[in-house]
Amino acid sequence: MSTKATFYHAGCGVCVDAEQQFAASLDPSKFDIEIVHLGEAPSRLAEAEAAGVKSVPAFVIDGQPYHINFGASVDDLK
Amino acid sequence: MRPDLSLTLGALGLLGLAACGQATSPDGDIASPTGDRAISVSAAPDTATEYGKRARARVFGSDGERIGDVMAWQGRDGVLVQLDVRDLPPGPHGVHFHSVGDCEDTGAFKASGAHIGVADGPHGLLHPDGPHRGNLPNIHVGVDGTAIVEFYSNLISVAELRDADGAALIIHQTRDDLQTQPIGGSGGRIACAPFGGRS
Repeated sequence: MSTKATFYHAGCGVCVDAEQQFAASLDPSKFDIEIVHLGEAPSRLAEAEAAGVKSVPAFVIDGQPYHINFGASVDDLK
Repeated sequence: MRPDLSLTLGALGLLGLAACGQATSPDGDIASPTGDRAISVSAAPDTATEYGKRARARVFGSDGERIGDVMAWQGRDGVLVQLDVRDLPPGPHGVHFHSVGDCEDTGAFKASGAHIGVADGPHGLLHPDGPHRGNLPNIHVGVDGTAIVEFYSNLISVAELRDADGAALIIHQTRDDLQTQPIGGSGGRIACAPFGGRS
């Protein structure tokens, strides 16, 4: 059974780089990867915050948030 | 409201000339010439009835100390912003009007919300489908940590800065590239100036 991995971003330069370096590197046989652009899907903001995401880009893997560098605060998207 | 690019280009020249001859005195009045930088943005809310009104705010740094002042003057079709700051890291910094006049969460300044107009389209003065109404040009802080800057925006009005929840001028950590989302890669918030609202 694969682990759920959600990559939250907002289209920022740091986000795009992280998507290429990390999201694309996860083994799809081990991770069920979903990429969410919070700028285009603001309805997912609450879900991201509930999972502990404070800035983008960030992963939520198996319910745990992992922030990668800093592209923008979640508050910049509200 | 989307910007009027033809107005933008015209205003750039006019305001560059105008602002080079003015600076902010400590009491917020337009004072003697200093020749500092000026850039403008455009679009035109109906602000004629508000002409001459102004809003003033103190600028607070990430440690909560006052590091300067900002004044917004309502012109016929936009707002002249006069910013006088010190104790900032040298180099370029993104500057934006945020939607809530609340800087009480010192250091984070997240209480100031997102850019004014964040729901209306993409961020960025140079974005083809932008900008946010809160977008402004970058400022450039000198090696002594100070900057005295004037710019003009007719994306915004003084009335909006002084509305029920106010607004805040936020200075970011680094340069706003004026195109990428959601804040042009300008990093965290390092200074905050609350207009109206909660200050």
